Amino acid sequence: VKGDLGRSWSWAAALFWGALLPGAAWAAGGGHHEDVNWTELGFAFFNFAVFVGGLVFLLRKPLREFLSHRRATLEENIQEGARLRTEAEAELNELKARLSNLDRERDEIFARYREEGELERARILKRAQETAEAMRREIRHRLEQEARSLRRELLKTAVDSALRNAEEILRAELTAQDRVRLADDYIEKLKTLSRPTVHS
Amino acid sequence: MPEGSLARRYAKAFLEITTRAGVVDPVGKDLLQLAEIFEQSRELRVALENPAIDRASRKAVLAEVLRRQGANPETRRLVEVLVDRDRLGVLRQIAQAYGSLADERAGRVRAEVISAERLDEARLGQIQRALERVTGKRVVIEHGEDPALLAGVVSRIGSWVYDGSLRSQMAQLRDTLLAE
Repeated sequence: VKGDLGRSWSWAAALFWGALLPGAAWAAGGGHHEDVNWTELGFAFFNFAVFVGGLVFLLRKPLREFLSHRRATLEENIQEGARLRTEAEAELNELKARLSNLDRERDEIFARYREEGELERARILKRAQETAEAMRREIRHRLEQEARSLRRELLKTAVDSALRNAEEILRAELTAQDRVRLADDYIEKLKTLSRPTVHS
Repeated sequence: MPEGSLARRYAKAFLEITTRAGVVDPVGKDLLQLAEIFEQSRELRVALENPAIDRASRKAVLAEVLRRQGANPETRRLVEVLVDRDRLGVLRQIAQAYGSLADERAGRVRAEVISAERLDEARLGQIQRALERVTGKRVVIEHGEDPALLAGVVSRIGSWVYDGSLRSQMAQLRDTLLAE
């Protein structure tokens, strides 16, 4: 479009100079006469009309194209501007809305944090209670085991001590008759044994 | 070859010889006595097992020991075989295996009867008859004493034990009290 317009302007300039030169020649020749020379004036008007007609003829198409292109560009720019404006307005509205909701969001965040904190506290408390309960059970179990072991040890000590005493008493007080009687009891029991119990 | 198996082979061969000679039990007794002396006298063991001392000398020492022991002549011949073959180290096992084989062949078993104090012959006889009735075999009693039993008697035939000692009754009482 620009190339066409440039060419058209070159042609227009040529026409301009073509139309002005005869007039200039006329003015140089006898322009100082006070009487109007209607022929020359008509010739000048004709020249001007030819110049204007040539201009219209030459510039019509590129000018139309230029203007059409210019209009399309302007329309696009206007549309783009409108779109950007719409987006900016939407963003502005969103920001306004967010600004207006900021307090509410802050309160919500605080409330959420508080709630999570409460839950975490409850979880920690529950875990601590479970750990404490497990430790109590373990300690109780160990204490019971220890007590059983001690009872058993005590019983063993008492029984061994009692048997040692009993043995000492037996050694001191068993008479020959007692030993004979025990040997006789043994023999009597031996006599009652059944055959299959012995495997030599 | 394991010592048990080796001892049993010698014992079997000895028993064949002593059976033919009719001296099974005296030789068995001699072998046990000699094993006892051999174990108790370190000097005798060193002298009889020392390869630096020639066999004739070792046999002479052994003959003197057996003479003092009053052993059967057959015993001396058998023990000399052990000297020749350097088998005196397993004399105890041979004596025991010989005793077992002799008992088995004679249809008898040996019963070890232990009491806190020595039992009289009458009671030992009663125990012997009771054990013969239980085993269905002729029983040879080997009586021993162990004051640790406190009182009562323990009879042992092979792996079978019949324990009537006061010591074992106290042990049972202890187990019962501790089991509760």
